[in-house]
Amino acid sequence: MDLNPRVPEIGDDELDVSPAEPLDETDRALLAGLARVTGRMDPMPADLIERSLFAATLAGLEAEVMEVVQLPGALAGVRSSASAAAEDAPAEARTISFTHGDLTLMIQLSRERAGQVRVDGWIAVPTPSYTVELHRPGTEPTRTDADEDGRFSFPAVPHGPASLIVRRPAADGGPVSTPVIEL
Amino acid sequence: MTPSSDVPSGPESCPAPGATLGERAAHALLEYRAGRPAALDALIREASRLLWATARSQGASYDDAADIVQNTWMQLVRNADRIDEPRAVLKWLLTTVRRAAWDAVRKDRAEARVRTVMSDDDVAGRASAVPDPAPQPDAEVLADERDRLLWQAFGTLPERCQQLLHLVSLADRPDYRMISEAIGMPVGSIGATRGRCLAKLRTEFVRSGGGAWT
Repeated sequence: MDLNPRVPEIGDDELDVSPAEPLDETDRALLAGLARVTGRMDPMPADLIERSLFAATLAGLEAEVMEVVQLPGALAGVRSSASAAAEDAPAEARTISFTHGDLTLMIQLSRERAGQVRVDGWIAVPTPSYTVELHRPGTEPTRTDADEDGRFSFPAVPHGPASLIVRRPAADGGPVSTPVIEL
Repeated sequence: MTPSSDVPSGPESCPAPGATLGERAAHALLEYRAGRPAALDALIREASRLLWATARSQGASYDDAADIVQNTWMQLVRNADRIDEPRAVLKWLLTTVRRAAWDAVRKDRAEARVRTVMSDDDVAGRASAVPDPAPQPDAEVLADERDRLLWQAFGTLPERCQQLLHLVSLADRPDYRMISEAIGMPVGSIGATRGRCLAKLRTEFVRSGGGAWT
């Protein structure tokens, strides 16, 4: 917190009340006031509790977290090679890739109707017909199965934080999840 | 163990009335281990602000502090079965936050040094070299005159006092061991320090015209 160096500090011999006294009503009121004041002066982000609850839920799924593949300046190239359909995608379309071991997951996000996002995904492994779950804070997950080419989609997802989980059987390495992404 | 909607929600035990935050945290962990995540959700709602304040008091930036709070809850879940002493879970949370905040501050400083060295614009470089240790007090936010005076009085206290009182104010039944873990103050000295800090705040507040606070 901010110190104000212009005001000389009060010495122990200048106190109006003895520091040895147990907390009294005034102390409690001061502390309550302090909690209120510090909450206004340094508020935590309004959605931090919601995000923390979501993070804890995802952590409880015990899926290994995939890494986002950084594509410096290569996004357009990936997009065009990923799918010809991407050429027709609206300007807002975003492609993100994730990897974990030998699994690569690529998703394309495009704006649907107001407030909704279409998620098209592609799992690149030899036998990719896994179940994919879409998790969002405060809601039950939705599920879909990837086809034999590893393609899947969630046609209309509301905006906001989300995470995808690919349900691989334990023999294939167990479930993996994306970090939380903002749709 | 993975709590999910498949797990039947059994009768939930409650922590004893008058339990401290540390006791509620221990209860939440045991409940979670038993497949009932509701108490952990309640703990996240209750204690996130304390974790936030702890990260901020160690100098973490706004964004870093938010990430640290989130990651700490994730780590608690991932380590739920490995925490040997459930009664110490609050200590574990606060220690995790404090270490993560130190790491974040160190990283910010190192990056700021790099920026300073590389920056052509010396003034901008110097500005970015200063980490963001605390919110800029903009007392406009405080509509109530007495809140403003209290904030001013708080600002005159030594930094140690500010940290201690801030954390004490965020736990409804402060327990000294917890605060000791949060700010690294020897547990034996906290009672006396709390008394001295609070007496200073009170004296300063009255002196500045705040009057009696009741």
